[in-house]
Amino acid sequence: MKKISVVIFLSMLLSVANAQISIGVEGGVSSSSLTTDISNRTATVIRSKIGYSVDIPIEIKIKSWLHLEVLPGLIQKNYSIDRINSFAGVYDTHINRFVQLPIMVKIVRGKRVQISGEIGTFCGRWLSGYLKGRIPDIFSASNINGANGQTAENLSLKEYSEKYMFNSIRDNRYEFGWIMGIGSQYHLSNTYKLLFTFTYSQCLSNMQKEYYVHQAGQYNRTITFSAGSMICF
Amino acid sequence: MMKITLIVFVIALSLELTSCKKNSGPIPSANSPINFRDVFEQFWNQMNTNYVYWDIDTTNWDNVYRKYSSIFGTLDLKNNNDIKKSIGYFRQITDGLIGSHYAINFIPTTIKDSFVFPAADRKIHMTNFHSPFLFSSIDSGYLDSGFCTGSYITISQQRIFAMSGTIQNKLLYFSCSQFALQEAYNAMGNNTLKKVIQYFFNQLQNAPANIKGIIIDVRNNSGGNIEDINFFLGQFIDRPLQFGYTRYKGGSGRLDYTPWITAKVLPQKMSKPLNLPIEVLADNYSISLAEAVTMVIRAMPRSIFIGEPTWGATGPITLNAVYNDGQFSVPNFLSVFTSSAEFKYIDGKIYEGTGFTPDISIPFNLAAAMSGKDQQLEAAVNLIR
Repeated sequence: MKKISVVIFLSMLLSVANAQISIGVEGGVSSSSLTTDISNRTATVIRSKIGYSVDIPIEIKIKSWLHLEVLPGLIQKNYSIDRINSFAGVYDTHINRFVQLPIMVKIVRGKRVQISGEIGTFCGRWLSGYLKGRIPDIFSASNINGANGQTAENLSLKEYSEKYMFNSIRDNRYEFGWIMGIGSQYHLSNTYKLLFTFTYSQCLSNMQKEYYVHQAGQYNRTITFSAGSMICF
Repeated sequence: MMKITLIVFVIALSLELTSCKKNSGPIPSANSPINFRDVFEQFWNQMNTNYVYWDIDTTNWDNVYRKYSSIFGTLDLKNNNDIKKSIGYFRQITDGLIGSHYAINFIPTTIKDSFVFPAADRKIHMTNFHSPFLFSSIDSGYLDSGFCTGSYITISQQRIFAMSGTIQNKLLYFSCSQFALQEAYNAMGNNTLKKVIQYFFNQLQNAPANIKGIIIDVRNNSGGNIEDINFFLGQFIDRPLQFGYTRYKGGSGRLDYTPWITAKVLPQKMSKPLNLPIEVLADNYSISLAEAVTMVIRAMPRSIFIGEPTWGATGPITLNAVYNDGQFSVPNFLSVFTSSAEFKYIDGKIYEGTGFTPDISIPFNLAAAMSGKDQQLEAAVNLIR
């Protein structure tokens, strides 16, 4: 049994060693949202925000229909916590930049024009963050007289825009999850090809460390649309 | 002991009715609890979300859960003795919280007159504890003839007093027992408090040449309406004056905060910059907005603070819905009164729980006060020559 396992493993290595390798560059847009419990927050929604993604796809053709893909790259996972209804105008946007390493198995069909489906896992590190928002200034309170003679209280909104300060107790700088995608490739020649990809990734790791009991998790969910080109060796 | 309990009750009641806050209104709540375990779970969870001092409070809130979750599980929500017993547990749970506005009021009929007020419980056990003193009863003796006094009953049915006049024809003096000055000023009809405010503003804007300084007295002042900070202190400046920063809970997590935003006083129409020295008198019973007023004045040029450290309730309060933090309730059982914002003074320090400290410390002297001598006011008068 042990002898058969070694043979299978060596065969796979030989397959990879003899496989065609492609490498390229790819860029596109990301759209992220944060999954967390905000049921206790009045008039509040979490909205997706657009960001960018750029990666270096490395593809190993194991079989004509089976590829292994590794995509080291940078991606923004942005979202906004927005107030609605009478609090509309108040928001807190988080712009987060990650370095990410997805590894996927890709099934490819076609010759010159190919379609593909891929699934795999990813890991990453949260590199930096930025906050932009608008919030009522509690000390700006002033009374305004309504048409009905009653007095209402008014708070002006104050804007902020600054780098996110990481908190070592709270923030989990590493993430992992699963990823899947569909795409198409167009072979310009035996050497060059264009690629178009749509991916969906779901973090399984919490953006926050578990620093207190019964803590609600915060998970990133991201879709990307990318286009790029590759050279086949 | 009974006298101390009464003092604490009066402070708690006036604090809740008057503190640095916007209008009262519905406090958010979850579903009505079905047992004491539920009461505790809702209270403990809502504290995670709504209490703004978790970054500096040393209370181990997880240990509170581990210890008291099972204790509350043994209590019966239908048993009056257990309901009364729960007050003691809530007192134990919260006794270390630094939030000095923090208070729990109870709703069940058997305990509706009970409350938990950790800051007051701490202060009455301090070695230099003294009862609040009605300085207006002796300070009128220091004012030149022609001074004015007035009162007003606020929308929340609080009677507030104010007094203004000159001292030794060289100092302009103003004191008030709480802050609802703009409300009184804009109230329909005449009220005597409005006259005091008008007198003071007129003197301020058209100070005679003999006036060498200003004294603002917020001793024994339990705070009040936030808008007064601009309405009153905006009269002293002609450009925005930054006096600190505020931040709020930015998410449901215990350490989820918004960035710090600047806290400024805005000049009012027709205001002129103050070109005179200004002194603020505050004491251990200067609470909430009274502390903010003290800190704003101290941020002005040529200013000085005389008296005692303030109460330490520096975080302003508004409806929970504005920031999704601050005051909250457990339906049919309790409501929690607590700050909506964490406040940091312009010097970068947070004075919550400790109080803002005077430049010139003059502890309250009961014997002197009972003989008609206000040592703190005299020190302020003697500073300006």
